[in-house]
Amino acid sequence: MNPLEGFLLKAYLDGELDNEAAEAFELLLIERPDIAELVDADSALRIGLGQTTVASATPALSPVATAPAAVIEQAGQAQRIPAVVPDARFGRRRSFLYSPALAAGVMLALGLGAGYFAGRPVAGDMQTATLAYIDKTRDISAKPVIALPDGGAVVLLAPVATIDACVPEVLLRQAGANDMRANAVPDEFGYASFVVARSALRLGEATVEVRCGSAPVSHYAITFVSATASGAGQSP
Amino acid sequence: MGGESYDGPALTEADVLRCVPGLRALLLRLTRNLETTNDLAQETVIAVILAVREGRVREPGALAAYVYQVARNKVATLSSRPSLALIEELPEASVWGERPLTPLEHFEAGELRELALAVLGELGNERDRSLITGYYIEGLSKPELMQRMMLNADQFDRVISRARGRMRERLLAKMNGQPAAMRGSAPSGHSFPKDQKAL
Repeated sequence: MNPLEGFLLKAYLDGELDNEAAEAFELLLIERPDIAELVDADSALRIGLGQTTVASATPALSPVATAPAAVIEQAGQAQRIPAVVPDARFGRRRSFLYSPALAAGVMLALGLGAGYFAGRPVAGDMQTATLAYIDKTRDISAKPVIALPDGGAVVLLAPVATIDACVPEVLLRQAGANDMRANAVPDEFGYASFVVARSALRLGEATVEVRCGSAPVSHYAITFVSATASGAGQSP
Repeated sequence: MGGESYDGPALTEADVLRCVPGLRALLLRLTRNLETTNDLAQETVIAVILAVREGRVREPGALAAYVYQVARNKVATLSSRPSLALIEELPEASVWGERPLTPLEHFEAGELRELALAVLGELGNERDRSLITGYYIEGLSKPELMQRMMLNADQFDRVISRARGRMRERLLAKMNGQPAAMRGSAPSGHSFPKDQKAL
């Protein structure tokens, strides 16, 4: 591998290539077993370490104080609810293998409707959180409106389209804020729960994107409003 | 692809098999699932070999692009495709069994965890381990980690490259210790659909 190939490999693995460059590199990858070995090594680290937690991998590691969900990370792990963490890298990732027809089909299957605020605390002695539910069973064309509490933690229950044998990545995009990302295994109804600190959510428009690997699967818009101002905030 | 006027050396099935390591690496990166990667790699190779046999791909220079496009299509249609048909065993003389093997074909996800933790443990100091866990477990970006740990890009790259290099060495070492009898077995219990197993 020459220095240029090494440079491109690093950029590819770090998600720093644009679409065209990444596809060109992937063509090279097909032809080069020596490069494939290093891509495999990166995937192996990602898969292998993805099955563990920071605590079990490095007990002495300091907590990630900058992550909005860090305050309830322990609670999220105990409930097998993925904590949402910021991922600025995701914003630069190229769109790949995007199929508009597939995405449209998934959007129809989701049948997104208006979200509602349940105001139900999460039980247990971990932390109290508010459940915000993005309802997919109501109006198919409406943009879900999620009423948020003034503080504390929020458990966002969101529809997550899946592709067979893929653990989807869910990305929450908000204007003026870092993107947040989580891996999620949806339940039998196609929903996944995400724990996030209320302070990390901004009132206004947001977008939820679902990806399988680097391939976008679906996306939908939601609106965060204040439960106090809107008069919502209790279960319907 | 494979125009009528091409008079150069013909593509062979061996040429297709040489693409398998890169194909698998691509599929694993896209799907992040070992079983899915095994299945899709097999399906892709079958599709490409059939295309070569039927003369739809003739030029060696076009092979990688064709393999790439088939692989992309396989991944894109994952959600709508039917489950793979199961057959009792893969034919002994199958072309698939003659492919170059890659280390990850021998591993279950649980074994990868052990290997990854071993690589993590080999890293020289706490800072390097924190960087790897931040990158691979917490999903933090390179700029975030550089800022958090006060590293420059070269320092970051050195640690990540060392971890990747050691993981590659461990995978290769483990594969070389595998019994030869494993080679050519059908991955993840799935195999060619019956109408394609004559390969």
